Amino acid sequence: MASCRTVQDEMTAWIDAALPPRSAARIAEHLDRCAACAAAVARARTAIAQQRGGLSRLVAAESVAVAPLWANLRRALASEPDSVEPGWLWHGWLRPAAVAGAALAVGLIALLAVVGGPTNVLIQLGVAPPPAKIKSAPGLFKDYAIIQHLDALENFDTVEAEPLDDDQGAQHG
Amino acid sequence: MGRVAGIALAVGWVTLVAAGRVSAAPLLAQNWRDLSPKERYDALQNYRRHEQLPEDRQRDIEQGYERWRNLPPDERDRVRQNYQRFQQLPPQERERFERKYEKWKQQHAAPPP
Repeated sequence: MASCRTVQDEMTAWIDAALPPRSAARIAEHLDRCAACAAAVARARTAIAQQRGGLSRLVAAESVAVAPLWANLRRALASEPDSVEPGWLWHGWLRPAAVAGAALAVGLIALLAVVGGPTNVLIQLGVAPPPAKIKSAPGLFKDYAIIQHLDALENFDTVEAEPLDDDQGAQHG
Repeated sequence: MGRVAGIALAVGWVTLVAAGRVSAAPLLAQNWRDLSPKERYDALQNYRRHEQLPEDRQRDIEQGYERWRNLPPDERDRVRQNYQRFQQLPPQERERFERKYEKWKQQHAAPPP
């Protein structure tokens, strides 16, 4: 006769009727005499049956629902031939190109901000002519800071030597 | 992609011009073309500033330019050197120089008839 341990080890095989006849007979003999092992086998049989039922329902559901869903998806994609898959920029070789393009755009915007707009860029490049006043007197705007203070700069040393009232006050103090 | 390539070329051109590697503005007047990219940038900025000034102040500066053009070269060099000296002054000294100049100008103003 089999022991309780042997029954536990071979329980699923016994439920599936996968044991050799001699082993199966020994387990049956034990179950006739051991109520605890008989109850355990009954619980295991019920659990296995429930699992198999759930799995078969799941397989059946998949076989029915997935196919039409996939067909709907294909139809939807076929009806929008020009649509772009979301996130396409971030796959494969396009990613560096997208990053480079973004960096270029940011650089261009920064350049335009510094230079003062597309018109100024074109003028500096020589594609567009400068304003008439600059064209007729480029030297004025080139040396503008000097010309603005020409009188003071012409007399720099004389002006520097000029005493201020607070200098005299400091000397007397 | 064509647009991106165009933008890349334009940015490259601007970079080269700014670095002084290529000559810009081949179609413009000689004097404007002679300016470096940095001078051209500054000239445009000065022009925009000039346009914001009152007309009488604009006229004063333009008359100053005529005088500047007619200065002998060595005198112009001297004035340029003075400008560099002024730029090297610390802010407090610059402010003092401006006050001295205002005082000097009042003293040398033509007396009323």
